[in-house]
Amino acid sequence: MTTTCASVRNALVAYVADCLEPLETGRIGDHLQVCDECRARAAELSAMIEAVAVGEVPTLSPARREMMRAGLRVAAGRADAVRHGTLQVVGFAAAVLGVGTGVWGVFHADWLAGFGGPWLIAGATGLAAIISAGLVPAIRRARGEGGG
Amino acid sequence: MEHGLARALVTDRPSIADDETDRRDLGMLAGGDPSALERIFDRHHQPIYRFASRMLGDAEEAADATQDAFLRLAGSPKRADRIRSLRAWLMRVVQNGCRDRFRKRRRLPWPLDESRDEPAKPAGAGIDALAVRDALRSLPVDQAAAVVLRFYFDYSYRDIAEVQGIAEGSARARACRGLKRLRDLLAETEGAI
Repeated sequence: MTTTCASVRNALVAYVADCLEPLETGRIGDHLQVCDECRARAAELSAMIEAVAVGEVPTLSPARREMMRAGLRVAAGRADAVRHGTLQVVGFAAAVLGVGTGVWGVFHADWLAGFGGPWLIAGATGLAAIISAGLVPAIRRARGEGGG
Repeated sequence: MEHGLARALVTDRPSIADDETDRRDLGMLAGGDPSALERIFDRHHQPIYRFASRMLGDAEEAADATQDAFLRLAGSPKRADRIRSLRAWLMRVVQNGCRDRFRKRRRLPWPLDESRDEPAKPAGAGIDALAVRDALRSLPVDQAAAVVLRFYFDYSYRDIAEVQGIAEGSARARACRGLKRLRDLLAETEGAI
């Protein structure tokens, strides 16, 4: 492939950005060694890239950093409280379901008998108890009472 | 290819890959330990702030964008367990935050008073570094971010792809398009390039 200044200039950005295949990179590199004008253009592009990189390295002031840490602490605490609250609500709902099913079953024992009533009530109550019991460690963890 | 640039003054080149500590803290955060968030903040806030600062060009806005990224993590700790690379995730949140902020800026009836603590100085070949960085903010956010990550943070294109959630080839294309546009913008304003 013939290397002309026009073709090199078209590919110069990709060349300085290291986006070309090695063969193409070599072709342009060879051309830059012999062409002052294209080399000057490549130098301008490199200077532009350098301008992106140079300058002050911004750093958060200690006061602002502490403020942000405090904000995060509050946000994390809030998220934790929401989590804790959600767990409690689910646990309470499971308990109400269990008790409710039991009470309802007492008053509808005859009707339930046709559907294997006692087993149904025992199953629903047991399931609710298992859910509630399963939530206890999670609630304790959320309250910071249990291990991690 | 090494083109001999005086690369980023960022001395502690931030790595995109999570280390063991990140994984452990993310797990603890997901498990409901709020102190993990502070440890994550301590380890990552500087590079995240530098990224936001270079993108936005305003110290206060950059600090806000940084805080927003960590607050997002705090707001839904369950999400923490699903994060593949914490640094990449935080940078992506900041990048999206920058997009929103640029949108708001365009709606402002007056120009934002950007803090310019440093005097204009040439970066080489007579190019004004501040003009370049101003022009950078006129690029589409994903292209500007690709340019900043590549040439300020010295990230590989694979890392940039991880931050932006795209393929490596697309990251290369974004950086190239960004540079071309940057060159054209500077040529329009100054006839510099």
